[in-house]
Amino acid sequence: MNQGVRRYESMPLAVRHAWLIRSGIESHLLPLTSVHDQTTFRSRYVVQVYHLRGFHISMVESGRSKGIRRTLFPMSEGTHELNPLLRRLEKTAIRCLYTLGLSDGEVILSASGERWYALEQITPASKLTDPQWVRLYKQQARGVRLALQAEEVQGFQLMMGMDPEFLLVDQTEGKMIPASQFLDREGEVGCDAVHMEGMTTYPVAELRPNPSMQPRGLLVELMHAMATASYLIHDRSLIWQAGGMPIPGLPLGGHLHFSGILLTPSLLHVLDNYLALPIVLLEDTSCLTRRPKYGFLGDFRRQPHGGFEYRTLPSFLISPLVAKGIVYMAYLLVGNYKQLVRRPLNRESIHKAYYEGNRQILQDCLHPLFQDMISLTDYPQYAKYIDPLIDHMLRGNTWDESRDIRPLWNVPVL
Amino acid sequence: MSLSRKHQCREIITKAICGKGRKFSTVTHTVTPPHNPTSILGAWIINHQYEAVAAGDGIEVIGTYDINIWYSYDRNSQTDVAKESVPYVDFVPLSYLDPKHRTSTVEVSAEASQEPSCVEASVSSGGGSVLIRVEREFSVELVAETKVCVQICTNGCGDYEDKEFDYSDDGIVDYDELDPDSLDDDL
Repeated sequence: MNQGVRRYESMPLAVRHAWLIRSGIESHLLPLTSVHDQTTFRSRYVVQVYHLRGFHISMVESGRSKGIRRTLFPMSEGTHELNPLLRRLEKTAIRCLYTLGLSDGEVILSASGERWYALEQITPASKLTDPQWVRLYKQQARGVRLALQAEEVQGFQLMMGMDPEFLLVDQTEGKMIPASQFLDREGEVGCDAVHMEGMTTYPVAELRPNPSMQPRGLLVELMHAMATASYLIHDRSLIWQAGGMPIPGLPLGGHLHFSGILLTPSLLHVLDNYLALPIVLLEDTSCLTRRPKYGFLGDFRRQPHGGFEYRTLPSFLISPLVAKGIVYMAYLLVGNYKQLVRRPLNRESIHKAYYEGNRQILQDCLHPLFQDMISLTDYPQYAKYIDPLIDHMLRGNTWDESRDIRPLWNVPVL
Repeated sequence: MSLSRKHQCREIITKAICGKGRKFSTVTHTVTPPHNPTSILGAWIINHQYEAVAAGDGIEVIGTYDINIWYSYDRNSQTDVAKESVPYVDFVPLSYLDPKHRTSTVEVSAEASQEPSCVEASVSSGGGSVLIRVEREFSVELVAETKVCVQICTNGCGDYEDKEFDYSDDGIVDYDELDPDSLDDDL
């Protein structure tokens, strides 16, 4: 039995419930009368997950979790992604397992309306006894093992991209101006959708620089996208704001894209522990309200090109120093993730402090993380960009989301 | 008068997707079975049929489905299945609409991106009926004739051999001028 399963089994039900709620996941683990009421039927689904991928979804045809199951979809290679219901079920199941420190298992979810699904039950894969599932999990394990072995032999060629966001603000009126007034949906600089109260608007500006094999190349592409944005957003009276949530209700993300490397649960844990956790130390207090709906740990999305995007970070366009530090740090961490084994976020106090933005507690676990990073062979070549970020974290400095980011990025303000 | 060669363009009339929309909705139906239900054992939506109709600045999806509710009654001593066919009309607004489209040529279509599914079925507070919450999601398209403006390639087709192309974009900024180290180091 692996360490994750042991840890999961040692967690009392109330603790599992608390971890899920804190992470923004609805939980029906505790026997609350309102959801276990006999007079109410809820649609229930069973999702089988191996290493951050759902491979089978069925619907429970009677009112009980253990009832008759009907296969909804055998989930052959990626095609389920076209069905919004199956996609949401897979995403929620993976998120439930990951939050509780598991990578594989059976997840029973019940519909709670408005496209939300609550966790009813988890069975770690190693505890499943039905021969059909034992065989299918072994098959999944074999596929992942072969892919990892091939990566080990051939090595990987990491390609990185990003799509950080910012807002346009009329400072005299103190209100946000939709980016769609200046930008199209597509392209190197575009606008992103926000769905609210049944309406879709495009208020957020998004930079989509070309990907690069090198951190410096990606930063040059980012500067190019920034210059393009400056050209397209011709109204110079509007200031540009970034970070986590400069305007209440409009959370911003700084998504990092990776390809050329296999996404594994341990890679995701490294990004959470060694990157997302320290970055919280720099955040403006307004960032806190972004979590847990956004900025939750382990937020990833697979991309059609075979890679994935890591979506936990806020918009690092807040300053070039932060952007440079994050890009170099991410490149270093992903390239060496197998050597990074510390997991402070597995501790209740640290996990809680992350979601509550408790800097004091988080700061106490920084040194060992930085020591691990600094001891990596590649570190010296990236130190110039990562050291300033670490320095600010240790000094307890935070960024200011109310400021105009243009001057720092050499974008003309007049 | 002649147009400058650089700016020659043509308006082409073509059939194109001129509008798109998507709508997710949750609705509650009330089904009254012949017996007062004690508990709900299962609820399904089946036989979904629908069609799309143009309606003002959006598209209406008009359809029906059957609700089947398996329930127990007489203090859980008997079970039965209540069936009811439900008609519905869902108005889906368009998130964009090409203002140049020719209204007389409009054709609309809808696709259930999520087939209607039951979220929850519960016995009403009075005890005589069942409230069933259903989620459905549609994406719609409006196809019509419209005008698109294209720039003319004045050199014609197939005469590229001797031409030198400049692949740079709008000349916004030259990559050689971009150096991340030149940016201010301020948190």
